[in-house]
Formats: sequence, C-alpha cells, structure tokens
Amino acid sequence: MPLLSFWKKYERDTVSQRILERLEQTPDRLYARVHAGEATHSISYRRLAEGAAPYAAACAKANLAAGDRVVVLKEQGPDLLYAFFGAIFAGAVPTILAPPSPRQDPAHFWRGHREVMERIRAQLLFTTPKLKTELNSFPTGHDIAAVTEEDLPSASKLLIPDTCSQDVAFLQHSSGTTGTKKGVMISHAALLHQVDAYAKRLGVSEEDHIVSWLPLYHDMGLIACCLLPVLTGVPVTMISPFEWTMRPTLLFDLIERTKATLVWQPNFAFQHLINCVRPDDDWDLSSVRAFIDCSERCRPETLDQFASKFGAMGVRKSSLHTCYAMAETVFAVTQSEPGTAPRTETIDTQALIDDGVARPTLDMHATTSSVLSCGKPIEEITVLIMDEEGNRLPDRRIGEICVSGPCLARGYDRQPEKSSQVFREGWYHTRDLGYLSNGELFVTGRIDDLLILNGRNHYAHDLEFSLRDTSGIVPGRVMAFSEYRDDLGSDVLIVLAETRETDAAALKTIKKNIRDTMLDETGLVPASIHLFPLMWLIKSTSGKISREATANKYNSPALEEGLT
Amino acid sequence: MTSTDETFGRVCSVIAAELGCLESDLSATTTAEDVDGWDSLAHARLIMSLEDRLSIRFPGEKLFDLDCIGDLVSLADEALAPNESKHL
Repeated sequence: MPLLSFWKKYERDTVSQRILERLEQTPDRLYARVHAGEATHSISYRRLAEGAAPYAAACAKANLAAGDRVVVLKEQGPDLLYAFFGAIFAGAVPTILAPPSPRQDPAHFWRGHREVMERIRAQLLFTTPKLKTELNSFPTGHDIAAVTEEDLPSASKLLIPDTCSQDVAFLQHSSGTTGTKKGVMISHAALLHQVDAYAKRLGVSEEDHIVSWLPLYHDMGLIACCLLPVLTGVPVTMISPFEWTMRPTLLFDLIERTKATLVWQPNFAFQHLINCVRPDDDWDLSSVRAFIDCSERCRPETLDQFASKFGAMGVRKSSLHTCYAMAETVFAVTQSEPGTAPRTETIDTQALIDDGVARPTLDMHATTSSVLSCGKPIEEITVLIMDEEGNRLPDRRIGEICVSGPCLARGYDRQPEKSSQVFREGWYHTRDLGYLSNGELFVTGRIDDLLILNGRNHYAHDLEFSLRDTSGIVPGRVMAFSEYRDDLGSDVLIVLAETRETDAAALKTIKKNIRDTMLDETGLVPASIHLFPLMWLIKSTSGKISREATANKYNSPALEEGLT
Repeated sequence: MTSTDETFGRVCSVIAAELGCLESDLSATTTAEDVDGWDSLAHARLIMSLEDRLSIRFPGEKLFDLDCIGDLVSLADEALAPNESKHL
C-alpha cells in the first residue's frame, strides 16, 4: 500500500497539482509583480487562479481534449501568464510564441507562425484583438480559433485536470525561421524534476526574490523566471524585454526597490548594462546573491568588467555565476556553485586545435584562450563528453557534450526524424563542444553551424535560406556567420553574398534587400553585409560553401580592399 | 541655421560615431534598416549617447515609435525646447 500511494502521488505530481497546493496553503502570497507600460500588476496565487480560470473555461468551451495544443501569442503582461496557466489547467499543452516586433513585416510574421500552428495542429490561439484581426488577414488551410480577453467565458474556479506526470505539460519553441523551429515537448515530470533539482542547487528559499526582463517565449524566462517562482513560492518582478532593451537600467531600479536576490540573463545583457550605465549612476545591488550568466557562451572578460564596474554598488565576484542550459533538458544542465566565483581556465589554443585537449598553461608566449567553468551538473543529471563514434572521452579531452537524466525532453513535437538525430539511447546530443575537469563543465564551441546571437540560437543555413529570393544576389552564394565583439559581449551576424552587380547604387539596394529580408524572416539585424563578385565564396568539393575557409578569407587583411 | 538643422547635424554625428557609418550617408528619411548593425541594442546605446551629448532625456514611450532619423531629430528638438528656454 505505501508503495502504491507513493506511485499515485508521483503519477499525479503535475504543475497544476503543485500550484493548487500553493493556492490552498498561501493564497495571498505574491507570485509575480508585472510592470507593463505605466501599470503594475501584483499577482497572488489567488489572483493567478482567478485570471487563469476563464482561459481554462475557454479551452473547455472549445471542446479541447487533453493534450491538444494551444498557442499563446501576447505581449508580456499578466494576461500572458493567465493564458499559459489556464491552458495547463485545462489539460491542454500550451506554447508561448514570440509576438511580432515593431519592425517586423506582418506577412512574414504570420507566414512563419501559421506554419508552426499548422505543424503542431494547434486548436486554439490565445491572443490580443489586434493580432486576431491580423491573423484573419493571413489565412491558411489550417483552421484555428482565436480567443481574446473579450471573448473569454466567465469562470472563477480552477479544476484539477486529468493529467499525469508523464504527460506533456507545454512546448518550448526554439528560435530560428519557420523551417527549423522545433517544439520541445516538456513533460510535467521533467519540469518538476528540473525545478526541484535546480532550486536545490541554488539554495532557493522563500526569502529570495527574482527580477527579470526576459521574454517568456524563451526557456530562460519561462523556466527560471516564471515556472520556478510559481512552483517554489519565490516572488518574481517582471518587466517587458522591449522596455529593458531601451532602458536597461530599469533592471537595477527594480533590484534596488525589491531587494532582489536572483537575476538570470545572457552574456550580452551583462555587456549591455556595462555599456549603458553612466559613470555617476548609483544603485544598491548588494542584495543580489546570484547574477546568472546563461544561454550563450559565458565570457570571463564580461563578468570581470561587470564586477569591476558595479563593485562599488555591491556586486561581488562571488555573486556572478554561470549556467549551461537548454530547452531540451527543460533548462539547467550545470550551474556554478552559489557563493563562489566560477573558475576560469587559461588553456593553450594550439593544443586545443591540434590535439583536442584543454591544456592549462602559464606560458606567457603561448596563444591562449580563457574558458569559464559552467559548474557541475544539477542533481541526477549526467554529463559526458563523447567523440564522433560515441565513445566516452576522459577529462580535458574536447568532444560533444551529451546529457542524460530525468529532465530530458520527450523530443520535438511531430518531428520524429529531428528528434531521433539528437535524442539517442537516453542521451541528448547537444552539438556543443566542451570538456570536463574535476566534474565541472567548460564549453568551448559548436560542432555545427549554430550561431548564438543575443542569447538565441540560429542555424547559419537557415539564415542563408531566408535570403534565397533576395533580388540581386546569386542564388546559393551567400554565407551567414558570427563574430565575437568584445564591446557587445556577444556574437554579431555577418552576411557575405555574391552578386553580378557592380554599380554602387545597385549594391546599396542589394544590401538593403538583404537587411530587410533578414529582419522580416528572422528578426535579426546583420552587423555588417559584404558583397563580392561571383566565385568569391569558397566551396568545398561537395559543392557546399566551406565556412571555415571563407571566414578565413574574409578575415585576411590582404582582402580588405576587395570588400564592398 | 534652424534648430532642426543644427540638431540634425548633432544627431547624425552621434549616429555615425556609435554605428561606424558615414555621416554623409545619413538623411532625415534614413531608417534603422538602412544602416548596418542598427538593432534594438545599438538603438539603446545611441539614445543614451544622444541624451549625454545633447543633455536631454527622451520620453521612454516614444522611443519605440520612431520611423526615421527625421523623427529622432524632432523628438530631440522637443526634448531640447524646455532645456533651452531655461537658459534664456
């Protein structure tokens, strides 16, 4: 009997069950304070339930079956939270997609989103009146019912849905253009294990307070700053990513006001703050016990600058942390030890390239690279480094980072081939390169042509494909790659393309075409675009563009004059 | 020279310095899409530089609604007006 009751509890340990327990125990405790424009909304567990109930009722009214997909497409605000949790309480599977950016062409935006909705066979779209009108202007064969706040039925009580822990709780969509967007299927069990293990590693308590500007369509925003808070009872204060981008110091205002203790953001955001805080500005940031650098390569020089610039405001080196995370493992794989600054290793670059070994060196004449530790795996997660044949590599040997454990996703929604390429025999093959040393993970690069720009992943071939119809460039003769910029603390996008045009005005028009198309299709703005005459890009014998050789040619000082 | 002409010159000089482009390539109708690297983060740095150089503070809510450099110059002029009257 005890075993059976344990099993029953485990089976029914779901997101909705846990939220209802909190609702019962601490209904008036603050879950989230959301700043949206001029308004501030304080959301208790009771308010969350009241706000989510009409959305759950809308799912029931639409006769959604358990597991049916629901898309949430709203600006950051309380209603986005209510819609997401309402769908979960209805037993449906929500996914939050990015709303259009002000500069994005609506036709491109809807073409991409429509395709995703069709692929996952979404039954319902929770959105705003403005986007509902737009949706109807861009119809496709796939029929989806759009529901706005005004259309919601009245309901105030949440029911426990008939879901079990192995059911899919939500989909986390990756970035990129339509062709490569993947809906990562996260089960209740995987999510709850992640939250429990990650909270334990960080020593999270109800005394903590999280401040976040991160979008909720991104795994770092959704897991660390939306689901971890609601499931652990840690309050979170949120601002919109748009507002933060324009006024990054809003984050510091909120830290000071709320005495926040935990902040997650990608490396570029640390640099953006370094660049945008004036010398005479002052805040008390001493309450923060962990600023966590995550979702793109953590750079030791960025964290050093951050500690140096904001040291007088109470930022300690020991409060700057690193995390290695991805949606395919719900979120965190490893996390540096709270209270201790993560270790930086100086390794011999030549040994890295020639022998695939991370060899620490003190040789002043050697070419070296500094690599920041991402810490040890969280509880029950195993990290191995494997070679191309799948053999386990010893400490300090560079290979593919592979992850196993109870946080692994169920694969990509309705994309079995893509799933089986990376989820194999209980391991998620990350395509990231790195090494282990004394149980700590160090990330050194990528196996394939993935670009990480401002914390979001984009495949180079996908970006190149988006330019396929761009007027003036030779079809198939385009290359997208990234370059690290110290001043931005992040990689930037570079586009190289071949053209038959030579006229200066025509070249200018082609560059504008590339810029416009890239922005519309991907939301990205290239840092630079360079046009070359036919046959400039180097192709391999297989007919594919040789990325390394072309990038080397581009970086060669001798070719400076050839750039247009 | 009108205040707008003068502001236009000062705004373009900051844009050129911040984004590494030529001042001569910029006009009132130039949009962010016309300039390499002018993304939202660059825009925020640009706004901060303009505020420092012109000793003004832009109203946050209007910073998302700018279509071209001409709009930015108008916004800067609006922000400059009360400052300049204070000095009279």
